Amino acid sequence: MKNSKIERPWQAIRTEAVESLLVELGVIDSSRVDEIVQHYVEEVGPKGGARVVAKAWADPEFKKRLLNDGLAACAELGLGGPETEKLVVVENSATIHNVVVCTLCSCYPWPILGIPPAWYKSSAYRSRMVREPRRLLAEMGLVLPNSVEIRVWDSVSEIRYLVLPERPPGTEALTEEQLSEIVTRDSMIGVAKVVI
Amino acid sequence: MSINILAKPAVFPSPWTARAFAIVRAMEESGIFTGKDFQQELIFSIKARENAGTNIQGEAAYYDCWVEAMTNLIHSKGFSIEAIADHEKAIRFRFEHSHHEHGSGCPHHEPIPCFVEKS
Repeated sequence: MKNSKIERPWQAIRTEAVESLLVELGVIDSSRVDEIVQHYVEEVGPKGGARVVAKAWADPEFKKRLLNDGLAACAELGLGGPETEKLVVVENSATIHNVVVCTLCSCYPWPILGIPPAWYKSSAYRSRMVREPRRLLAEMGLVLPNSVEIRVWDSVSEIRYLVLPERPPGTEALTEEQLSEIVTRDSMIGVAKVVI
Repeated sequence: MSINILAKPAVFPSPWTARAFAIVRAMEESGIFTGKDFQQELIFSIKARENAGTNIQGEAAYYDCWVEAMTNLIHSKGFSIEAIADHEKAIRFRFEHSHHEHGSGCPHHEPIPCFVEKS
């Protein structure tokens, strides 16, 4: 029966050991670690970004401010945090499609979109998006005609990007709240369009 | 290399990844290192793995790099690797003598529910 014991991954043990040591030394507090986990699990996520996009679609003055200074405009909606120094918002149109990548690691506008998806951090996405974006986007389900220019933005620690997707036709009667419900995380990274 | 965009979205794939993420944030808040310091270490860790021919394909590989970067960075900030190893040893000991091990190893163990909601 001994050989049926459950193994814990080394990363789990290392993480617990690091936390235990740092708490013992008074460097960090476990309750603060709990709060940070809870914040990212329950309070931060793509819904924040979706509110930003919906407001930009519904309010041209807000959109101007958003394109001028992303962080300041997001702060108007109570979104933001120390993780992002500068947020550049890039707008999609019928002829220009923007997509965001972090070629070196996983830079991402956390306070606006939450934690990045697994594929965003993968070697394949990080390396291929800057070499063959049209083909990769097509593989991911977004087929763009050759007439559309694709602009790939490489996130770094100082500058994070948010895509302002095109507002889909037929949404003229929707309220801002209803609009925010159709905006997806992937459309704000630029690997999908918003559809209804 | 293909991308699985349909992978189930989860904020963190496991409790330890959430902890590892938050510990780094807490250390940044404490001023032990900056977000940029950590990013550089994470880039180094990811690059080393990719240069060795291992692609980052899922959350597990990415968070391996995260934990590696966290360990290397706190070591470079003066925290002893031996102290971490001592804590790991204590954690392994506790885990091996925990309810799980006892339950699977003891022939007299009676399984009991951990929670009962009365009718």
